[in-house]
Amino acid sequence: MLSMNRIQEEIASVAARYIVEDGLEFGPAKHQALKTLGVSAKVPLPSNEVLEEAVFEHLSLYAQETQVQELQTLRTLALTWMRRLEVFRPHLTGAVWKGFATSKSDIYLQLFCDDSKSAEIELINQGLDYQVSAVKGFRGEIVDALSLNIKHPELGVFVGLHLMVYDLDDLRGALKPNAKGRIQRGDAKALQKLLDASLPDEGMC
Amino acid sequence: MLIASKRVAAPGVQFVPFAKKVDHSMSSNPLFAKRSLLTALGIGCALAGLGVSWWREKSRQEAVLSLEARNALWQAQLEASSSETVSLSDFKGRKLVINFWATWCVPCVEEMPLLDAFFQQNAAKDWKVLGLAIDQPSLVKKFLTQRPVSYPILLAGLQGTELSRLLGDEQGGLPFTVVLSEAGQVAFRKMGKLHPEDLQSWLKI
Repeated sequence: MLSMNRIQEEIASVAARYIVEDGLEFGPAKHQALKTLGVSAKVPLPSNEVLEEAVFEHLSLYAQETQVQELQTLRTLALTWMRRLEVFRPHLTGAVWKGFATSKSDIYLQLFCDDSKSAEIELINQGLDYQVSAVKGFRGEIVDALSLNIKHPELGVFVGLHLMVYDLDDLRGALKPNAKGRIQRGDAKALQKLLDASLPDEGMC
Repeated sequence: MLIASKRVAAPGVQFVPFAKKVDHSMSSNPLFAKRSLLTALGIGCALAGLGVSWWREKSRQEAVLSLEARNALWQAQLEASSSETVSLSDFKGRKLVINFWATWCVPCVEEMPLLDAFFQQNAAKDWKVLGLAIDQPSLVKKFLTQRPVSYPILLAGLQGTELSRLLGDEQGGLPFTVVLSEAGQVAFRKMGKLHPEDLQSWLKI
């Protein structure tokens, strides 16, 4: 029993490295970790919660100045788009929200709409190029993902932006913290708070 | 209406029998000959117009990759012919040529020297080329000992078939080539053998 826990921790810490350094999603990172460690595919994989803690541990040990800056840039960019799409109650999620985004990360916004077509119509009205696909949502159901490529106005780099279209009802209970006390998504106000909190204390004009 | 046309492709098919009917009834009468010619021309132009707008719509929407396609692409971990594991996420944000091929596919094999020359000339300009073999690993490795190329060859197998479909090779034909810009936009896509002009056009990306 103890050794099984040990194996899971090992898988989680290797997977965490793939998530932070290669920008892999949780699922593929776990499988890649299995391969790297040469562990049988029958070994139960660590849960996402366990893996998330491993990611934060990895960051606290190896975090680099560049990662902090890249995260800050992506969060600022996300905030701009959240304001642009305000009527759809956008909530930031994924690595950019949680804090382990790097330059390889995309921005994931969950939209909670009264009318599921309205977000798509808004993109067309704004003349934006996007592509639709169906992906698994956070409640396990299939949702539409509207994907765009956006350009950072100052840095000139391109970032993938994905708008996951949910119903207004899905917002109920979506802001409750998980067992580890982490909240899985945040609106523009919550994001602004994160940005304000990470402003440097010194060297300000 | 707009949404419908984004999701379902190709309007205009129903116009074809209509054009035939007009042509038939009037051509025998000389009085109507000129008018029928004009009508036919008009319909021809309308059809051409529709064709163009359909093509524009199609190419416009396909320039952006869906979340499903991005996940399949950037999360892929493939074994190279050199036996090391390659994360496709390492190529994110680069100008990237992805060529799907197989050892038994004659046009695929014929275009490989072109791709190889392109890679050698442009690798220094930050161009990446990947050959994704949809074939048996042993056959690929044997083939490469006889006809080596300088760009990496990845043993993609069934995962490669799925990836090529998501990148727009709906019929699963080979060779299939996709070029991605630094912004992650599809800048070129071709099913069939590449010509030197195709490769020339990539340099403008």
